[in-house]
Amino acid sequence: MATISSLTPLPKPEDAGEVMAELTTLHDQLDSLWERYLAHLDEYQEAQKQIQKQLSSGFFSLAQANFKSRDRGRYGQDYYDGRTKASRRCGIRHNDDASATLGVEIVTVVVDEQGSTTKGTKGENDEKTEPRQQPSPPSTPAPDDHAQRPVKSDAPTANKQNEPAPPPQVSSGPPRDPLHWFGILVPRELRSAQSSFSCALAGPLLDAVNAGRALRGVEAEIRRVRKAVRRMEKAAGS
Amino acid sequence: MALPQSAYKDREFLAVIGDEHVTDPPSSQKNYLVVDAKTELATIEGAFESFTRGRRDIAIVLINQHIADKIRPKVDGYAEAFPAVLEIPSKDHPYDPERDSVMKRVRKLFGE
Repeated sequence: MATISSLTPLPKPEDAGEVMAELTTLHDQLDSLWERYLAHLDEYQEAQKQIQKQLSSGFFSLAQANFKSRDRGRYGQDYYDGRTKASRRCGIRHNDDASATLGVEIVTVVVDEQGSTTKGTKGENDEKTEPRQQPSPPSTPAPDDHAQRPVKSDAPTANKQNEPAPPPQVSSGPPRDPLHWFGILVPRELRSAQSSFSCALAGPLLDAVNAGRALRGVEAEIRRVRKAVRRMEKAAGS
Repeated sequence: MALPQSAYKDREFLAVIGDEHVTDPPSSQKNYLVVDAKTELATIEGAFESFTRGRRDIAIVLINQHIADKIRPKVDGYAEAFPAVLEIPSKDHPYDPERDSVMKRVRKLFGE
């Protein structure tokens, strides 16, 4: 028969004190994690509102363009050019806290001294400038404003500061604008629709994606700390 | 949790699963699926699997929420870091936070 002396001894006062201090620290950690979580949640919800707004504006402009050009037919997938290449690419930046943030960059077509065409985005590594897709055969000359538009990134990319200086190259601007699938003179409403969708992509869509990823990360930490708190409370209670 | 750079270094394209008004310009290897009334469920599921697990060059998958509802178990069960999946509204179906998989996870966390 078990005697009192053979039972697990009660925690001494200093052990109980340590457990309580540990619990307090864990609770403080949990509070700051919840703060971060709620901040990211707010970002996500705000981004979704902006997405709804931008896309609605784009759809409305598209509807107006379709309404105005009833003779021509709808601006839809019937006019898609299968040779078109991506004009936007994602860049993934590695942050100091070991998380990753997604950004979107405008693609440029770069012609080197030998005349061969490669694609690159500003700030990427040299190995990424190898062509992944065959370039589209030029069917119409690119508009002047594209050639003169400066190459810019919507978000910084990793290793930008560690890149070696690129060899001298001639930039011939970004890939062909998808608006040209529908002709040279396209309605103002169609341009407005493209602008709305592009703005949605560069802004709130990315914000929502990054906020959603951050939510997942913080959620995992909250679950971990909660588990530790329960374990500690069980140990303190026993 | 830190991911190795190899997990995402080649991911640079967006993929879209949506109706006609949403899809991005196509590429040589299609990174989009146009869904209409005749599109089968298996096709949508196949495209989702391909963009999320099959291909290594997709960084973000955009999917209309009303199409995500058709493959809800797959979308809700997706938990990888890359590519990121985002539900977006379409022309005829506005965004509903009640059905968003991200918000479902939030409610589940609050509910515990």
